[in-house]
Amino acid sequence: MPAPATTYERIVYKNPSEYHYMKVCLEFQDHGVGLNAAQFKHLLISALKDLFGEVDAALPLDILTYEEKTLSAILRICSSGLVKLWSSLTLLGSYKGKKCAFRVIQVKAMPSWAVLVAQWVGLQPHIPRVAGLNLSLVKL
Amino acid sequence: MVRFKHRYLLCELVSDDPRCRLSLDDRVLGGLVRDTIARVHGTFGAAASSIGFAVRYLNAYTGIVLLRCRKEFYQLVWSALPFITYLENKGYRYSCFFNTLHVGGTIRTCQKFLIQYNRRQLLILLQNCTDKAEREAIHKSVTRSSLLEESGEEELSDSGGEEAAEAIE
Repeated sequence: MPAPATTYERIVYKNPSEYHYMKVCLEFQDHGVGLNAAQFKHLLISALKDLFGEVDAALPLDILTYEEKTLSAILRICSSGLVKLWSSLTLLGSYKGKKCAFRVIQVKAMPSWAVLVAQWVGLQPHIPRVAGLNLSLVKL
Repeated sequence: MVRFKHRYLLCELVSDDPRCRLSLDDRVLGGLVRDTIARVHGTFGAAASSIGFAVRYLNAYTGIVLLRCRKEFYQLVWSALPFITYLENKGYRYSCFFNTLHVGGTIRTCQKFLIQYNRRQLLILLQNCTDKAEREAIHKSVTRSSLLEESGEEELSDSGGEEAAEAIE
């Protein structure tokens, strides 16, 4: 008996979220450099100001979590400023004369790590409605 | 057709000090606008707007300035203009601001707007002037500008009227 054909379903979010979340890690060339949360935020804002000026340095940027030991953080930025923040982090080369680089580990549009593309066999009978989002299913 | 499209920003320099307008210089002004864009929009803004940027027309008596920039980045230039707060010349600092009157795609549309604007300004000056001799001079300029509607000599007579008004102020 032939195996049943797998059906794929694609979930498309109609309302894009206002914020994007980025998980970043700062790496220095020589070790032993520490930054506290305020210095980290100042570094991010000065990177934005360098490339995009004072107008974009005032973008609503938040540091949600920060770990001083590993110098990694989760940032939240409004969706229109994601490209600007990412490009200014890419071009940031040094902090107080010491060479450093930002590694972007993950970028998400949703705070909960929800699965965006699902593979089901058959149709799912009930789609849970998330408040404020319209989900539309496209069966391929 | 493939060509570079520009936007022409017609601005007026407004200042308390009468010497501010006379010290307008196109190179100084161009440098000032470029520095302001670099401060407000960063390296990206400075590079993007400086490709097609030029000061096309400058009138020291009326303080009218015509700036040219590329169509893709004219909003960077336009949004940086309110951040210009002073004009520096030979060590003197005059506080001033730029009032954008018109944004056009060609110099000709900006010139048409400027002619109508100057005519309206002359009428406003006529209402506000106090001295009788000046009133007659402005009245003559107004009648000349409305008679010569088809020829292109309104701008000269208008700027003459503006000059006379500048002298009393």
